[in-house]
Amino acid sequence: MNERDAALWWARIRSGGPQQVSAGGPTPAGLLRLVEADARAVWLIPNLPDSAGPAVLIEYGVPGSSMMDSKGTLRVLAATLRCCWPDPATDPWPGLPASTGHVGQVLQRLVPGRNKVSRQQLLSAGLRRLSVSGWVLLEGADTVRIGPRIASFGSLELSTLRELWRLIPDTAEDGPEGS
Amino acid sequence: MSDAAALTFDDYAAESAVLGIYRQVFAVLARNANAMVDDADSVGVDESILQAFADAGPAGMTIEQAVLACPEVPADVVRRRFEVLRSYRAVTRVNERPHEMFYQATFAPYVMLLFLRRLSQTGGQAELHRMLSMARLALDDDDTTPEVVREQLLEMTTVFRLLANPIMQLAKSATVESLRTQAQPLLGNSDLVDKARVYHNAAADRHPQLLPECTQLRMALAAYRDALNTAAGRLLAHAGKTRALGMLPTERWRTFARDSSTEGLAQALDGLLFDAPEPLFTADDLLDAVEEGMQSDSGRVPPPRPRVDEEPPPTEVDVDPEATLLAQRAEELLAGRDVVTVAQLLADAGDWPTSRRVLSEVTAIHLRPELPYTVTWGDGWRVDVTSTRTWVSDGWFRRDQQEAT
Repeated sequence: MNERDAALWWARIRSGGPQQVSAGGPTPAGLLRLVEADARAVWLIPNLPDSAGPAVLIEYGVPGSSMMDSKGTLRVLAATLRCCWPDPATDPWPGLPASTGHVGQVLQRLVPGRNKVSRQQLLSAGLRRLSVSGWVLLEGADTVRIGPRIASFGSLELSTLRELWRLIPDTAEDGPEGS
Repeated sequence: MSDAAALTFDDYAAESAVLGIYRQVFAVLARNANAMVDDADSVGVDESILQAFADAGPAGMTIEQAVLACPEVPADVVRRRFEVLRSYRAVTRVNERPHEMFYQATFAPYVMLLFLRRLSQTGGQAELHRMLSMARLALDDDDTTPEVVREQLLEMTTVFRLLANPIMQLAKSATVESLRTQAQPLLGNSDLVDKARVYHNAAADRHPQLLPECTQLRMALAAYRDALNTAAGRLLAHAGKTRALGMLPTERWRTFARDSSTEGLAQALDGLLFDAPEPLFTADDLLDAVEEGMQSDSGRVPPPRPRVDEEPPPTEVDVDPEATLLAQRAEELLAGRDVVTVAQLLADAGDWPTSRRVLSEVTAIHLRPELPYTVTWGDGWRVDVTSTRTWVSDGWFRRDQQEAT
């Protein structure tokens, strides 16, 4: 793989988010390989040091790309993380698939005071927004996995995520659906 | 015959546009202004009259037969148009003698009608194309004399002058809006100019003695091309502001985005690279959002709404503890009776401080209209100098009857 191909891959990732390739291919320089659970495909994500990632924007006070209803979307992401990450002692990637109903029940604890319809709207809209930017992966109509961008969190942030995991109460998947 | 007041504006505009063409061509036929057609329906009547003559055969028709043959048109209208046609000799007598009843029609007016109809539909440019082609073919014909070619060259020169002048006038001095609306049908295509140039070259080659006329035609063509370029340049200069280039029909502008495929639309953005929509979330953001969501108990506070219909109307007897106490006290004082005199109550009370309290309680009960007890006072009074109460007015403390039943 020459420099031109590596630049092409960087451009693809910049314009299209994390890229999925088959497992056998080479790795362009500066990219990180994330192996899928069945080891048939890998995701390429940029392997940037903390001082060069998108966090620099916050350092300089430059507004990055915004997201609608970011608080609610973040809660959806937290609920997805709680459901798809069975053991916080391990790495979150690749995680396990979870049903959106399960995620919705965990989300119920995070957004108290919302009725069922509004919570369902928040869940589906949030999952759609997150899947566009690669934070979660939607598989089929009602199955969700954590996306490759979760794996770009460093070890310091991973400990915060573990704290978050313990903070969120789990709900049995087949429990009764509350209102 | 249509009434001008009953027409909608669009109908009137369409009709007057057609009639305008008719007027231009009929102007060479009209002997005076009164004989000019002034609505398009008259032309339709003419056509049905000529059609009736065509069906009538060689014997011809009388006026009455013509009226009968056009049942969809009022009889007086047919008579009037028949007179007009007769005065123009479009309809002539079968035999030139007095009291001849039968008439026959000539074919030229009908050809004229057909030509007019085509001209009103296409604006005349297609006819100009045909005339150029026919003139070009006539050049190769050995029977064509130089005189005929000279006449055709002069005709073509006149046509192109007439075409070029209004366009140039619009491009020079009219507003852009009127140029856009009026010049559109006048703007020729390059085909017309090309065909005219081919004709000019062929005529110049074949008849060198006609070079002065060819030069006239060449100059008219150049004037036409200049007018077109000036008008197009003026339209283009304003196109940036108004997008109406005049090069695409308006419908195309409107429906392109709707009808075109994803690939077609994406071609506009070829060569551009966009950043992916990738908002960054740090783990701390995640933690903050979750903690905030779990802390707020109610989540979203419902907007304020009037509560009148949600709560039952307050019942004062129930909610006022003093009223409850007073009602209880009244039952004690009455002790099962419906009415008791105030003097009796005071006597039961004993000493003066106690009876004073009883009196105040009875008064308080009376003053509460929601409690079903009243005190009524009479005129008499009794005196007892030996008692602690030396005098007492007549008074009765009673339970209200409607409440007791």
